Amino acid sequence: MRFRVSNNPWLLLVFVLVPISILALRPKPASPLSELPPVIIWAWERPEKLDFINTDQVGVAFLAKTVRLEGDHVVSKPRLQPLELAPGTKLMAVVRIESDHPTLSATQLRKTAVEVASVSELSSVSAVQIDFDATVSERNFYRKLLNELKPRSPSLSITALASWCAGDNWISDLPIDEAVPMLFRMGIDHKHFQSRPQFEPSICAKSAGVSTDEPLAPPNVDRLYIFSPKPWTPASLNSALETYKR
Amino acid sequence: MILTRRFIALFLIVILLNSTAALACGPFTLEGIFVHTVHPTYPLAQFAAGRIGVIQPSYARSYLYTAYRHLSGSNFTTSEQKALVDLWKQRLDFSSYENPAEWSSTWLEERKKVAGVPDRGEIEVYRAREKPNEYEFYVNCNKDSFEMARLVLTHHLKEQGAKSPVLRSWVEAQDQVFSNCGSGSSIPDPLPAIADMSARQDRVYQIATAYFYSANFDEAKKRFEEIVADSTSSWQLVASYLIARTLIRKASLGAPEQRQESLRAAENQLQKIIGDEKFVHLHASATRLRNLVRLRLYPQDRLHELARVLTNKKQNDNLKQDLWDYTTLLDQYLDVHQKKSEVIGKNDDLTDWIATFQSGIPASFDRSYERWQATRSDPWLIAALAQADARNAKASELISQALKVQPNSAAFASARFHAVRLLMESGKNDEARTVLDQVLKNHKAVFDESSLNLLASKRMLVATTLNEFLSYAPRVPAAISWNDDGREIPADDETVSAEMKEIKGEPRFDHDAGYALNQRIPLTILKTAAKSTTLPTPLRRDLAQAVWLRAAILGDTKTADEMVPALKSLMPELSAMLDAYLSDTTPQAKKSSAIYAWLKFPGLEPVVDIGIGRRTPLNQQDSYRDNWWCGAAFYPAEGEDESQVDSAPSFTGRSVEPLLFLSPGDKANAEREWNTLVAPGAAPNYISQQVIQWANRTPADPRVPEALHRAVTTTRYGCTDKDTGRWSKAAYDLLHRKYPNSTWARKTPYWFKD
Repeated sequence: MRFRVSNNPWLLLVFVLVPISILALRPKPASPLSELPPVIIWAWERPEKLDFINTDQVGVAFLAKTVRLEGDHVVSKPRLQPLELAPGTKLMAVVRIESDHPTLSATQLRKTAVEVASVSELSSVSAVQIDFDATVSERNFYRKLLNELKPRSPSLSITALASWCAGDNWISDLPIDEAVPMLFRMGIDHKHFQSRPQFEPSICAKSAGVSTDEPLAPPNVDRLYIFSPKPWTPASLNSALETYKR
Repeated sequence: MILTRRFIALFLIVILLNSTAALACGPFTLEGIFVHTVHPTYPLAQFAAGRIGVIQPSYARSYLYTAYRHLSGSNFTTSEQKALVDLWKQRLDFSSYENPAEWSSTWLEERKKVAGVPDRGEIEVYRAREKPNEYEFYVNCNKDSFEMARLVLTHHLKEQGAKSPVLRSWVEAQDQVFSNCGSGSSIPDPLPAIADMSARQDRVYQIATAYFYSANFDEAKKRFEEIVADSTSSWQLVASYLIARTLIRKASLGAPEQRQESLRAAENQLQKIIGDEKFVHLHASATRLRNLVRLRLYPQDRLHELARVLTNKKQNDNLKQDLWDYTTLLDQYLDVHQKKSEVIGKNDDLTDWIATFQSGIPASFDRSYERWQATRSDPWLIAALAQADARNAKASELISQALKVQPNSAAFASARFHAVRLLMESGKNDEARTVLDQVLKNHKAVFDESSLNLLASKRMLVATTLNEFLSYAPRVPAAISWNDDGREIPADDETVSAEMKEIKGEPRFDHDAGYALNQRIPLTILKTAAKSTTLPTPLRRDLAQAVWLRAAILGDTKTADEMVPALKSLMPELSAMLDAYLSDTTPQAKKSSAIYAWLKFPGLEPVVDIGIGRRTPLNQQDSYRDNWWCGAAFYPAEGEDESQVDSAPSFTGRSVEPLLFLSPGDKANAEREWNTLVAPGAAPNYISQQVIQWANRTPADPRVPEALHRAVTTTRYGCTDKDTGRWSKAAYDLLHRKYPNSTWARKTPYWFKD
């Protein structure tokens, strides 16, 4: 038996509109960020042996590349230090951007986007994080860069100066999956950020970055990023997890 | 071809260890560094030249080495001083980036001269390691690789001409060689037997290097060995050297279990080259490479060998590299592997001294004292002094010895500082003061800015009068630094705002002075201090506002009233508010007026700033929420993180004892006042509470609706705690209940939850 759909408007509804509605109501695929563990440790440019971590509990955001905007040049340096990982470690590739009198030209933007996007091709990387302390004059460039990258990256995270999330709120409409307010290395006058941050845009509310050498009350966030000024060891990781009740 | 060989030999430079420090980020906040703890005061050239000041155990080890040499009376030549500064600059200055994209540019330019060769773009120089190390890259083709190719090409162009098909074939093969720099494995084909012999030998060499760059080290070694066996090849000598390089690269990038074997083979190969006169033009490069191999093969032996070289009084033309290698190795032993016991007591005084001087364990004093007894040397005297405390039975002997050190000795600054410190710890404050006054009067030039601040701190603490205290409380920071990475690097003038440039050289309060003024000195004395012209005007202004507001909060109307004329002259912008305050007749009304003034001037606070402090104008809200005494939300102050302290602490201006000019009664009063001040917790809670009481007491006061509005604002833009939400709601509710139609109620649509 074959239905003659065109003769029956209700059937049209059933066969056309309902599937559309189901598609529309279907939950969006989860951002790869949500698949990352609740604790991410930063592995910066130094030898790191992280084969001891519990990969269900802890992920690794490793500095994959440093991109320097120098005049109109884009100077890129990949990670040159060893990184030893446990099998199954959830990974985020971090690109640090530094600037020295950049022209912020369209060419520079394009080259920077290529450099940043390339780290998402590294194996097992589920998200890309950009660490760029953009000055006010660099914000427009940064915004354009993120717009360029969003379609090319699995999931996009940025580190944020605490001030960007409290008061100087210019990031709320950036095309990113999260902004990680950095609650360390903020100078002696701004301990108030560390103690009780009140972060405005929701994009800042889900995660926070802390450091092992500046302990503070555990921030109430879904995902905590932890920095260590020294290479990670099982003891330093356990101590950090204890400090932050994770 | 001899010429080419020489060029090749000249430009084959090894890639040495490549390591950079960890960086982090945070908001851009300038900090005043009063006492350096990571490195000495800038300019570092003065340290290299011998003005070493008070040596901090927390200094990086290259500075401790330099200090050790000066303390031992073994100074550096001018070129050695330059080498030291170069090393520090390279380690501290991350901005001197090389652009690897430019390395190949001269090769690519020269290549364009060859007819029929298509253009090609930038050459990637970094190559990723194989799994499981795929996240680590290495510099596969360095600057010298391209420079050597360019030189060979120039030579061929001259001999064969731009249109030579042989030359074009050579360039195409070289393109294949360089295509391996970034990834892949592309090996040129050998030339047929009918080709010119020299061209065939060139090709054999290109094939060997292609294997080298494509990380096939066994095949590369085999090919280089074949070249060595060909006595007619112009590449024979260089291939010998490249066998060693191939073995080293295999050790670095190949299977870990073959690492030692490869390094030993490389060492033998290099030893052969160094011992053979026919390789004379390669001796310098081979020696550098052998040192690198020894560093990896026999780290402990090499460490002590380097220590001996570095302490030899003979001119060292390789000082920078030797010190780089030495400190890299020592960092590995002391920080990464924490194996101090493996490197001390090995007939290597330098390493023993650095490891002991930096150690925080009690046994280090015994070791230092024992070594001082054995050597009577200044490095060990300073180590023993730095690790002694006044309870130690040897303290008197050490103080007496320290006071004998002459001003022309490099040990003078450290010896005097520790003598003073130990005298003060022993309660001998008069003696300490005498030493300090003598040093500050006669020998100031011996001390760098950071060390001078340490002395000023001690002198402030043994002051017998308020005026003396005020003379030594203000200090000029040794550096203004972003310090976002803990490296205390002075901020570049270009990155500092004009306003910040103005504060350079301006005296401020360090922790000790700020803490004393805020928590140890009672209002009765503070008001005198605020009127004293001994303090520089900006600091007097800060103190005057603190005293007035503190007195008003504590209900000491007499002191607050007394402060008004001085405060009006120092801060004319407060005049209207202060006049209103003075016109009030009851203590309660005065307090309300003071709170109202505070609401309108978020920069007022009942404490003085420590360091650079708040720079936002008094009547404006700071965008970092440093408003209405932010610090109140954080008392008691957070302690230092001691979880990672495994080394001797640095000496800083943080102690606040004995403050001799204060009586026990003064100190008790100060403590009582301070406890009252901080009892309400976050300042917005206290302010809201006061405004609510004021509104209930005098609801018709026309300032009340505005004050309620501003009170709610403090709970949003000030620093808060767990109780703030409650106070925010209370002020909001009162405003909307009692003054629903006021402008201020309309301006207050929300209260702010915890």
